[in-house]
Amino acid sequence: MGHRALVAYEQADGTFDLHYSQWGALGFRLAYTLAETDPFGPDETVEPTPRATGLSFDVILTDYLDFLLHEAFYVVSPGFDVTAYVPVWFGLETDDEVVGNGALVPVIWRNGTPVDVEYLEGWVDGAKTSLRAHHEQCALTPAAIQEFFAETLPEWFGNDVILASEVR
Amino acid sequence: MTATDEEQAGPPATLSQPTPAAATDFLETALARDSLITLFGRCTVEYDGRAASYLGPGDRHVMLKPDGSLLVHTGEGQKPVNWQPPGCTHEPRLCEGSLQIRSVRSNPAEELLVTFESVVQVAAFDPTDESTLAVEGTEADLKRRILDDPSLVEPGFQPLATERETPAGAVDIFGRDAAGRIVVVELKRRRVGPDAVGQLGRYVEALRRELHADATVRGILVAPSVTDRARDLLAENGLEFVALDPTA
Repeated sequence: MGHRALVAYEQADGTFDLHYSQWGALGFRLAYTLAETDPFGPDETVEPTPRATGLSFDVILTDYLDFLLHEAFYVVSPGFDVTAYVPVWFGLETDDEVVGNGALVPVIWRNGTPVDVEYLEGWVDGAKTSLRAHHEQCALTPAAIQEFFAETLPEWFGNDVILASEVR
Repeated sequence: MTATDEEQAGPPATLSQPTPAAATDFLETALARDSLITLFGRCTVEYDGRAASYLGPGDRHVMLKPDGSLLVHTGEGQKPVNWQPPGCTHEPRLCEGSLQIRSVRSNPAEELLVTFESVVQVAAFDPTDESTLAVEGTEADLKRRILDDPSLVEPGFQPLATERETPAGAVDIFGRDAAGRIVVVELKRRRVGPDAVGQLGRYVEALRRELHADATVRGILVAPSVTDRARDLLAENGLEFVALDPTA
C-alpha cells in the first residue's frame, strides 16, 4: 500500500500547510529526514505542493487525516522540530467513519529508532478483535467503542495521545 | 592508492598515528567536504538522550557518514554498539589534549560524545553512489515481485500503473484482468485484518465513481495471509484475496 503519510507544516501565523507523502510513513523516517534546508526530504519524499493550506490543527484531525489510510502523521514546527505520530483508527466495520474517528499516538524514539510501534499496533488489533466480538453480540455501540479507545489509549500510551473525537 | 584515486578523493585521505591536534584538523577539513570518515582508535563513548549510557575505554571503529549518521563498532557483531541516525551534526574538537567528536541531534535531543585516548588511523573518502536503493523490505518488495511476474496475482493480469491516484488515495497497482476489467490491487506485507479490507473497498468504490457507470472494478488484496474476519468481509464486499509473501 505504500506507506502513506500526512505532514502538517506549522506556519508563522499558527495555521498549518498539509502535505502528502506516499512513502513517508516507512520507519517514520520523515522525523529525521526533514530539515529547514530540505523541507520535503530527499528526492521530495513529501509532495512539495500542499494538499491544503491555512488549516487549524483541529480541522486537520476532523476533516483531513484518514485514520485508516495514513500510516503516519507528522507535525513540523516553524523551527523544523518534527514530531511523528501513529494514527490509530477507532472503527471496527468497513463502513465506519475513517476521518475524525481516531487518535494520534506519539512515536517513542531510542537511539534514532522508533520503538514499540508494533506493540501499539498489536495492542490495537487485539483490542479490536475483542471489541468486535462484543459488537457483533450487539453489546457495544460504536460510541461505546470510541469511548473505550479514548479512555484506554492515553492510559496505556501516555497523556500525549491526541484524540480526534475530543476535538469534534 | 594510485595518483588518479588521490586526485578524485583529494588529499589528505589518510593519517596514521596522528596527534590529537592533527586528527582534529583532519576531521574538520573532511567534515567540511562532506566526506565519509572512518577512525580507529581507543575511545570512550557517552550517550545522553532518552536514556544515558557510557561505554568504557576500548578499541573501536567509528564511521561518520555525509548524511549525518555516526556508527561506533567494536570487533564483534554486525551492529554498532552506539550510533546516531542521519541528520546529526558532528563537531570535532581538541579537549584537554584529546580528540573529541560530539554528535548532536536536536529532535529528539540526543548527544553522543566519542573521546579518543589515541587514534591509530583516520581516513576520509568521497563516495559517489548513483544507485539509490529502492524502499526496502516492505510493500515495495511485494510490488516488485508482482510487476516482475503479474501472473502471481492471476493468469492474464496486466499491471497498467502503480500508485495511481484516486479520490480515496493512491492505489498500489492498477491494472486489467484477462477479460479487460479494471483491477485494483492492494498490497500488505503482513497478515491482515478487517482494516485492510476497508481500505481496498474504498479504493474500489472511489474508482467505480470516477470511471463510467458500467465499469466493472475488481479489488484484490495481496498479503501473506488474512484473518477469518477479514476473509468474511472480503466475501461480503465482493473483494478477492491472493496469498503472497513479500519475499520469494
